[in-house]
Amino acid sequence: MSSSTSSSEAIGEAVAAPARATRIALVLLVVLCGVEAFARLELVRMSKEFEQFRSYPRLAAELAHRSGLRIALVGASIVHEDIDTGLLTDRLRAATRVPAHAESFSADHSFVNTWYFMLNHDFWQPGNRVDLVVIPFVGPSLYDHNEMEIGRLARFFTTVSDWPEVLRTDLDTTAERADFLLSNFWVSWAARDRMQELTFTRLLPNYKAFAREQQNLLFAQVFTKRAHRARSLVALERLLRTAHEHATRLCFVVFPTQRADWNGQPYAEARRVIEATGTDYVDLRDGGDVDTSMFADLVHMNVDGRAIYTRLLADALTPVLGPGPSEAGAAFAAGGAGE
Amino acid sequence: MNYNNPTFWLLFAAVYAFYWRLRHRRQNDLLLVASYVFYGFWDYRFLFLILISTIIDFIGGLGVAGVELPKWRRLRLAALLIGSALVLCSNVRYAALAAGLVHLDAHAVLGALPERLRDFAVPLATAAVTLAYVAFLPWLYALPERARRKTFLTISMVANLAILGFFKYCDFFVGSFVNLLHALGVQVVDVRLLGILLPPGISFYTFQAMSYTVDVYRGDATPTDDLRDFALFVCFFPHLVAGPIMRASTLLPQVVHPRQRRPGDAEEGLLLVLLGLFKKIVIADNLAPMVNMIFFQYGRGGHLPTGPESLLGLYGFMFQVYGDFSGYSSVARGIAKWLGFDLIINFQTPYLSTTPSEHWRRWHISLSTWFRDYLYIPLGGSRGGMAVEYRNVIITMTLAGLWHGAAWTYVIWGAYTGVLLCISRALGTKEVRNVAGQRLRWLWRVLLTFHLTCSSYLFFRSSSVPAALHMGARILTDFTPTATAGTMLGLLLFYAGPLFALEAYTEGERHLERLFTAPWPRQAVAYAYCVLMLVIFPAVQTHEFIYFQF
Repeated sequence: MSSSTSSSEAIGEAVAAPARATRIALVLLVVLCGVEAFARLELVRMSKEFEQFRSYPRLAAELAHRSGLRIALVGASIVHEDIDTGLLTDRLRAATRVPAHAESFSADHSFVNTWYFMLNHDFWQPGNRVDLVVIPFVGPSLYDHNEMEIGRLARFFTTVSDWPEVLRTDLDTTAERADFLLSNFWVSWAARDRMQELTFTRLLPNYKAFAREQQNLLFAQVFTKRAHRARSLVALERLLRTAHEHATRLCFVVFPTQRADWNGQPYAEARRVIEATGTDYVDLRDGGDVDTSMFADLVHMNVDGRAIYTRLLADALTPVLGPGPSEAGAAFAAGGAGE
Repeated sequence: MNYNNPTFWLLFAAVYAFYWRLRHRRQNDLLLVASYVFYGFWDYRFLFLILISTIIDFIGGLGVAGVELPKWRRLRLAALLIGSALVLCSNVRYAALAAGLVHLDAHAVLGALPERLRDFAVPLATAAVTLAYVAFLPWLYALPERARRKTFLTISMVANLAILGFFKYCDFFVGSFVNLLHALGVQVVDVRLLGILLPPGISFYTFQAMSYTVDVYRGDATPTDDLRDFALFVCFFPHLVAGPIMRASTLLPQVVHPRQRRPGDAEEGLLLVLLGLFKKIVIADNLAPMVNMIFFQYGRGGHLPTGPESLLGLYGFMFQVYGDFSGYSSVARGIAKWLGFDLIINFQTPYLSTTPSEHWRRWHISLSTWFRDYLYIPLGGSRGGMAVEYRNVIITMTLAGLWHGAAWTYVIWGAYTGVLLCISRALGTKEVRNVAGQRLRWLWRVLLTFHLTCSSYLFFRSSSVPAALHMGARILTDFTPTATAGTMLGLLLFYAGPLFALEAYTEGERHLERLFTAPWPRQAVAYAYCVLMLVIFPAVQTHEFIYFQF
């Protein structure tokens, strides 16, 4: 057995020179500043997603100033993977005989919390009104306590005035709150997952395919372990209430996936809360087995699936594009969903 | 509460801010309260178990040494135990109770109190047993010395093993017994398992408390008559839930005697904490998804990974478990250094061992030596011929396997490890040193030992014995190279490679001074690397420390 506990004496002598510690600390500082400079100056330019997020306020303003039907598609990767905006507007134009414009505002792996701040940031601003905001969703996206990408929320979708709201409603643990506050000041920290991705896609040619395969398997593993449980809808209720206050018309659309647990999820509580506000709710799942030939992976569609479901979406939206929010919405905004 | 949780560091900062300003007695009190707070974060009711272990071994150690507690102290201990049972285990909803009292709402206060008599089952049973024990104590003190020493030792052993057995193994043994009866064709009426929640680190602190009484019995440790000091010895938070398991002869004197700030402790502590967090957050947590992906596929059936993918999944687990466990030990040692304590080195580059025996002298050193000193040697050790020695090795390792978890995979892992040790002893394999002239031989033996250890860890990690065998067969029969295997190898090298090289240089934590005495640019590179990896490459998802479950 080694009962050795320390080499403190030797270390004590070695660290006696404070100049050495100062030099090391300076090197550390320089390295961290270098990485921060890279993150601020280069990474945003190199990341297509970050560029896209930065363009949203401009795109929202442009969309709002178009004439005809103005539709914003807000949500996770489903928005750009499962919906063809060109096809959608063509079909809506044909059905309504009014020029239609649609723009995607998506953030991969985002949930209702992030969508609220995206709407707040881009559409609930003076002059940025659109006719309809479509929110396509799958899985548990409408419920609270999903694992959010906190760095992205901090850097692109919130400002200092949102901090109290984010810290109170959207983040549950001290770790998440610390992560959010750090991300606001420290881009290297906020964008660490992008830096990881950048490093590995350059070092390992097959990394993206591997990551996707790993994610699919781990999804399946989590599903076998985690029992369904009732979850709260605080963030969804906030989104609905604020949308009503801004007279923003919403339509929630459930998309099918290849995940049986998601396809079978009834969303009864979420639907009740949504419909209580007079907001439209469309379910594009047919309830039966899905045609696997329409999917590129477990969640997203391929070109064929995208075309089919975009048409289905357009057909479902046509009757929705009518009068504004109902009286139920006003009641909800005044007193909450359960009242 | 975990080291990878910011709340821990906030609370620790608060403790540290006061710690060195206090006198020794108050320092111990602060550490005791902090230890209970940290542990209570999981579930405050678990504190009751620690308290039982503490009081039984406190009385046991003194009883073995022939120190008679005066009546008023015995009654005070009984009151403490019964009071804690009432407070911690009577299902009072304290948050609601506090709110009711603040708002002077009698209805809310009544609603927060227990409703049924069975809510008081634990306090009532505790009161009965405690009062009986206290009543019997004068009689035990009056026994002849030899009988008294043995009786107190036996009470300590039985109580600790009963706690461990009930909380960790009850469901396992009941389930296994029912399965055995089913296999024999006996249809038993439906037996419902208790579904007992496993208190984190229970195996660590019960072993530590137990070893204290044994050491006092053997004359290897001097008992303390200060309950607070002893309680701190049992629950000292840096190592409470995942070791290293400290002996009374090493830790208790550090608790009892005043501690001093020594030059170098702060820096060594910082390095240990940094290395420990690196091992946990960068290596273990990042390798976890890759490992889970491979082992999950064997658990569920269907499409299986290829042989190279499976092998890399197994390698990944080897580094994950090492990063996880040695990472915890490093952080524990670092924090203890900041507080003026020395905890023993628990890992010493085990994957550079050249024989299975050497591996076990370098891996989880505090547990290996615990089993050696308190089980293997009392069983007879290597005295009594080869057959007895091999029997003792296999019994010891099988029980070590069971210590790790209540599942047959752990039992088989332990027994298999015991067989490997016996074969190694039978072949008379000697350790090979990494010196000029025999480097190739050393390398070959390191690789051989590493792979033998890997083969045992197949059982450790797999969800079942058939899944482990299936995976082993796949590794040995399928050699299809795939792009996935290439990516896994790349990730493994990226995360574990540099730290492994650094550990080889410093021989684990044994010669950290090599890093401190290296030219400053080299030190700066090492620190910058660790910090950058912690900032840019922490795992997306944090995981519990694996050894918390043991």
